[in-house]
Amino acid sequence: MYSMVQAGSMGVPFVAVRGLLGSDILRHRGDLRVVENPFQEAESVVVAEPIRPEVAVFHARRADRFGNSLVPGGMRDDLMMARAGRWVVVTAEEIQEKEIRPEEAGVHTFLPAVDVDQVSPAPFGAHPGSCGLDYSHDAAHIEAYLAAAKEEASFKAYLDKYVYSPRNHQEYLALVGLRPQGKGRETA
Amino acid sequence: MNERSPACTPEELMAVVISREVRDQETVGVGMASPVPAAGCILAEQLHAPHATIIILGSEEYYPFPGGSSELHFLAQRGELDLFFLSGVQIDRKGNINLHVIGDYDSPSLRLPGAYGSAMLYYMAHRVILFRTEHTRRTFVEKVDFVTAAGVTPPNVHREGGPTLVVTPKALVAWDQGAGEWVLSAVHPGSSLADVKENTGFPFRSAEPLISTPPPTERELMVLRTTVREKLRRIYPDFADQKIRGLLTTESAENTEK
Repeated sequence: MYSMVQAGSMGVPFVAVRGLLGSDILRHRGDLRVVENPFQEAESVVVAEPIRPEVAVFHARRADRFGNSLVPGGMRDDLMMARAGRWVVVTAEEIQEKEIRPEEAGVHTFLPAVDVDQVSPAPFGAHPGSCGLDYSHDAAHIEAYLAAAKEEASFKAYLDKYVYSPRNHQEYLALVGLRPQGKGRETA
Repeated sequence: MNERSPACTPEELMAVVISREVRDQETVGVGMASPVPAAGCILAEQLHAPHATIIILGSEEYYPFPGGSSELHFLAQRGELDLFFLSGVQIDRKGNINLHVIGDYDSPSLRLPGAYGSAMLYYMAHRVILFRTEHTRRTFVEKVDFVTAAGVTPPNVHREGGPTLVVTPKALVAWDQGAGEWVLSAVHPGSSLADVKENTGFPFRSAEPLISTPPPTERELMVLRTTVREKLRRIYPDFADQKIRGLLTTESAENTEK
């Protein structure tokens, strides 16, 4: 999976991966094939098609109007995913006028504007997940979701209430009892 | 079994058993949702493996990389990971593990998260210890419903390692690579050969002689319940609080759960 996303980020036609031989995964995935290793006689190896998601979405603590973004956590796999994605959307706690430079990354992962196609302000946009030091995850909401997801009917009720009914992000936040400070737009 | 040995939770016992398998100087990886191996590795580091490089996904202290979890994945794929821990909802007689589905693939009774790298790690880590907090016939089956990663592969496949042990609350089972089968090597305090047979869904050979797992020592439990518990709490707070006893709350860790 990592290899397939990485291959997507590199623009290569396929990637060789270790393991997998003898796994039933090969019987269910057309994007994995067994070939002879061209550099090693009599060795079978799996090659995989790169993953290039149509859209990749990230939530940032801050973004600027050019698309430079600071995503929580130093888990730089996000950068790999942004490069694999064909259209990259960043939602952000706040969008600032002043340009964000790579040196500001610190504990964040810096997504450069060249890899980002669209930014949108969305305070509390990671809810019910967490967003760096801004806010923690909403444990009660996640537990309610897990309970709802067990049955078809309750899952549909959850989707109706939290996903389909709110007409916009403001209405969603009101529904879960969150109040955005300001308009999510600030000049640093 | 041994009246003088201090009582412990099944998770503590498994962590101690796992710690004894970790060697000094080696590079050890622990994946997501693996609190028991994480506890075992930190315990080993405190006791006899101070120079082991321990990599625990989800930890800051035990994550010696600048990047994300792909770092551990690719380190293993390079053949540089000595020991890794995997689990399986099912583990079968041939060493296959299942992390995908229970039942038929197209209409499963249970859909699980899937391989998440294990179909590579099971082949490329030099040693893989399987752990399972239940030892039952629904876990240890004749044949898995879905082979996520295979115990045995043909000779034309590059494989650095594979299964070496299974650790459960009842026993330590070793993989005999030559014979391609599991061999019961030790039975934990509180269990017995008959108990293990009763709860394993396939026949297996027993080691000669079959030993009784030495119970956790005072020192192992002391370190587990102090330093290791504190460090583990930063990665798995609920597990550390509920499954590893604190020294001040020795009555019963299980009772604090609810």
